[in-house]
Amino acid sequence: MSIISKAKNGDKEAFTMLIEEYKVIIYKIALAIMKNEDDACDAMQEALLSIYENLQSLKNNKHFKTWAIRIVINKCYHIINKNKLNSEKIEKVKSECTLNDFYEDNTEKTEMEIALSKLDDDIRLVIVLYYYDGISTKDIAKILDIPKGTVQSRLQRGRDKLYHILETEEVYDNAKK
Amino acid sequence: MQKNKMDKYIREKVEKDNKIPLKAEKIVGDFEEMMLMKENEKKVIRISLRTFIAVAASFIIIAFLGVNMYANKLGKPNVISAVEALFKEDVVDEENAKIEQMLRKAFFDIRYLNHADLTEEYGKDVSAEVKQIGKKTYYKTTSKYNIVEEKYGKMFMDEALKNLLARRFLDVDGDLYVCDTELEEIEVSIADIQRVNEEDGIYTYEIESIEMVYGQEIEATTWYKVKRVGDSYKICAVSFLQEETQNVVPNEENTIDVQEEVIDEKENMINQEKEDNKNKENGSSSVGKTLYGDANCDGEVNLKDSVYIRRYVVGWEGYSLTEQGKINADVNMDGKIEEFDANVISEYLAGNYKKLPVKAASNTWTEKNVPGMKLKYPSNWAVTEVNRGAWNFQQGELACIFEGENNGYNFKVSIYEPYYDSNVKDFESMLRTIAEKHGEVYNEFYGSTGYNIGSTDSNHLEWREIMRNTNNDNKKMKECYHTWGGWVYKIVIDYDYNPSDPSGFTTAYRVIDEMIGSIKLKSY
Repeated sequence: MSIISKAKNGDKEAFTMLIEEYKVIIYKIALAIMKNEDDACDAMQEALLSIYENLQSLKNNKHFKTWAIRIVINKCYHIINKNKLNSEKIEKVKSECTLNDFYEDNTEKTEMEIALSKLDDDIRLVIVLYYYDGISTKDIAKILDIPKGTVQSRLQRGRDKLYHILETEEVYDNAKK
Repeated sequence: MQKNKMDKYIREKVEKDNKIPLKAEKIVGDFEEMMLMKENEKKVIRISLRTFIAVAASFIIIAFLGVNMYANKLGKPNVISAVEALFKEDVVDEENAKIEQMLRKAFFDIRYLNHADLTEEYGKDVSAEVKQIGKKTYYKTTSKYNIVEEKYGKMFMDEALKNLLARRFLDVDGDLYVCDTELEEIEVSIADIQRVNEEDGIYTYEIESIEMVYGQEIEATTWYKVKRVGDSYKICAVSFLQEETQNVVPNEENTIDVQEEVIDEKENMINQEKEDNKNKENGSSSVGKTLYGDANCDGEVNLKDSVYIRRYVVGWEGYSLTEQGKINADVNMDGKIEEFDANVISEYLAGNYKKLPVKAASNTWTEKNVPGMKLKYPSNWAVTEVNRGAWNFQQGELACIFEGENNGYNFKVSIYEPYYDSNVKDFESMLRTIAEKHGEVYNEFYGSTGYNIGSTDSNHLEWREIMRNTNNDNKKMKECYHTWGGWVYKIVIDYDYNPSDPSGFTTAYRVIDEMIGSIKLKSY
């Protein structure tokens, strides 16, 4: 019996194992959308609860990954919509997340997180789904409900840009050393 | 190959970025704790001793029957071995996870090894002689052969390692030679990994993947045989099967050891020879019925034709085109067989073109002098000269508009009179000035795309492009800039684009490529 089946049957330990396996990708997706650690953690918390409560409704275990990712994305957008009345915050996010800035909070970021923050929102999410979780362009198109061609072009643009950002920073870091 | 290199580089970075912050870890921890607490909230039910015994006995009987059934299902002779199997499952899960992790890495490493330009990675020794073995050209690197053995030997065992390295590397007295690559651009993602067999301590894993080869989606299945070596696992064999958007039941006959070929090269050469011989025997030319796209003249238009053209273009041995093949391959009817024809076939197969052939650009061109430059435009397009009397005296003003249609898309190309700006020294300072003028943030990516970037050839001018927002998905607008000696040359391109039906757009846009490509500067 797979871990997903066990978790569906109420095995808490199996569910814990499942969460441990997927926690990084859940967080990275949430961060890609929410753009700061606090909101990403909120979205992650809500998503975990929702996955736990709705796991039994998942018909095909093979689709667990895409199903869970969809939940995370929905939760993020739900929080964003909920916070929309706080338009100042949104404006702040928009203005502060220019290509040259970091995420709006001051917590320590990994090299990848900093580099990702410099990508456009729509491109960033595609890159995270593709590279962090190995989702195919076909599935990304399904998850995000956009044409596959759009996913491919975003991926291509994102890859080029990310590579140049990472490479430039590496050269810069090496130079500093 | 740049794409593969970037892909590998990003994957390596992502692999290292596998931690989440403490706050997120705490949320996961709290969540797990909360779940367990819920489980511990037990309800107290009072029952009589007799009922308790009856319920307990029922449970024992059900459990016994269940374990027996489980034993039978697993083919175990008795309950004890079934219980052992039950506990063993956890160990298998852990083992599986470990092997899967290694296979994921191996999978991408093999793709990289087969497709990347490795001379850069291992340092090309330009002073050394190039080795030609069969059809492969090997370049000496500045590295030693043992570094690749060491790198890949961690994952692959003897024979598998030998097969893997033989595809790209050559060991000459300890020196490392790398063969040139096929320059195939692929984009690959893993769809599923699962263990399909276990025999004599060797596990067989099946990896299903989806590969984009020149825009065409291909489903592929790879089988890895994995063996435990000490505390870790190593791959002892790899078999490969590639399918074109359809499922094929794998069998031993159509698997190849550590090889990835969409078309079998030998088979192509034999077919070509057969066809040539047949033509010679019949004393006829190979011109027959035209089927656009069918470059290899096998009566079908499929991905093989696209690959065939690409190989023909780069001069692969055994990939020649017959007279009919040349007619069929020129799918954009521009009289040339080039990579773009292969792209059009791939796009056609992907459903982005409704039919073949497609018309590339205007067949007839007219040359026109405008302030500061001359260019060619499709002869059937409308030309509007703006304020003609003041030409050459209105720096930065709109001078001439070319309007017309190509392949169903409408284009408008506006040429501005060049203007002098003392702050502009080079492309960077020009782009900075433009950014400031538009109230935009300049950074290294601003205007980083365009035409002939880095070119110093006066016949192929460098142009930088900047997309402008039109607030309409169906209308696009971009500005193209060139600079020389403080002078700034500006062209604005407005065009229709239907995102829900992009068929034929790439071909249509070639008219703009040709127009901009034709621009020459005039003294001003």
